[in-house]
Amino acid sequence: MRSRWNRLVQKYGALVFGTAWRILGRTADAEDVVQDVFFEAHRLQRKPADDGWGGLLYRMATFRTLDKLRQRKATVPLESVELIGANAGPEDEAIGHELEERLRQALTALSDREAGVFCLKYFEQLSNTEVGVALGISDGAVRVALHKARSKLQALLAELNPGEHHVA
Amino acid sequence: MSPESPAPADLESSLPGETLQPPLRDAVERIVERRVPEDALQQALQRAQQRKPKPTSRVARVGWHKTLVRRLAVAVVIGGWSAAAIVIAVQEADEAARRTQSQNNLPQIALATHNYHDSLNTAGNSGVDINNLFVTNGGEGRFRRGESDLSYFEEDERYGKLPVVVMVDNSDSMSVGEDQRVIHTAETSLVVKDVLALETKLRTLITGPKDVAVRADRPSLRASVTAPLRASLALPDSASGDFT
Repeated sequence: MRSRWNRLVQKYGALVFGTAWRILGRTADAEDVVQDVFFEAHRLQRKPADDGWGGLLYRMATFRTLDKLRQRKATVPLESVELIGANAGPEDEAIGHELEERLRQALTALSDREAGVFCLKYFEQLSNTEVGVALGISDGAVRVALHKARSKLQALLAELNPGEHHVA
Repeated sequence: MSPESPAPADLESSLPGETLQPPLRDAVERIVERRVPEDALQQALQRAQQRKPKPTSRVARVGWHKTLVRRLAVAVVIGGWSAAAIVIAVQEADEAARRTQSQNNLPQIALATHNYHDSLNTAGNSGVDINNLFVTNGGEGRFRRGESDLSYFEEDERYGKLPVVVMVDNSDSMSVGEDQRVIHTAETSLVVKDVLALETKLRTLITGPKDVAVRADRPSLRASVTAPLRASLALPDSASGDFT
């Protein structure tokens, strides 16, 4: 039983952690999501087949992460204050961090489906079909949700950043 | 479908409306380009493995074999108690049925002896002589409880030849209780409390002689006398003997 749990964590832990970490941008929060997702997976009455764990964990990780993101208070985390990169100036680095946080904040304004589709498509770089399998929706629904998500996010970021920012 | 799956050729698809415009494109690119910290990932996996949740079901907690043994033990105990209760109930019901049957037999015996007495008008010998067995109801009250009861029978010349004489006396004048019956034999007199014991005693006495026959002075009375008597004493029909 323990080995089965360990195998599951070992096999899909990177997937869950990576999804959470990219959306949240914080290690501690991503670790919490990993714990929550595997707990939830463990309690499932009807567990999927071996090849079904990937899509299921993608979906659970995305939605749990978005929940976490919505609960987050509008504070500036210490870990986001990174050292200035060698290839970028301090101003660009600060603007880039600000952009990431603004995007994460804007994601909370989307519906679960729209935010999930956007994160899996662009952060995890899955195809439309893979996103549909992971979220249990059709390709058409993926495209519609993606279109809405892009439109809303671009509008939200344009409102937050009236001036054009382009980070090299 | 893995995190390492190849990235789309270009985030900016050729179709209009599917492209990401700055600053959204810049933010996405920054997030995608950042690599997952390996040490943080390993730490998270290690903690997740250490915090393995406890099994929620009893079977998963203690193992299916222990659960099965416990359930079987409980089933055996419950089954044993149930079987014992059923056996006791059946025995009680059987005993009650036999008691009722014995109670029904007694009037038949009395009726048979009364018929015999009325027909032959022989109070002294009132009763039915079944070869080695003599059954009487006491002869119209001429018999009372005491030694004289048997002395009357002793006057009968056949008495000495009969190994067993049974007198069933349920006269109201008896000093025994209503629920009691008296059995007189050549050797002794017995008071039995319930009809079941009486029936049992009669059966014990009747099984002694091998050749059972009914002697009646009037053959026409055989059927009226012997049939209920045989039925009441559970005698087989084939046990008819020499009628003289």
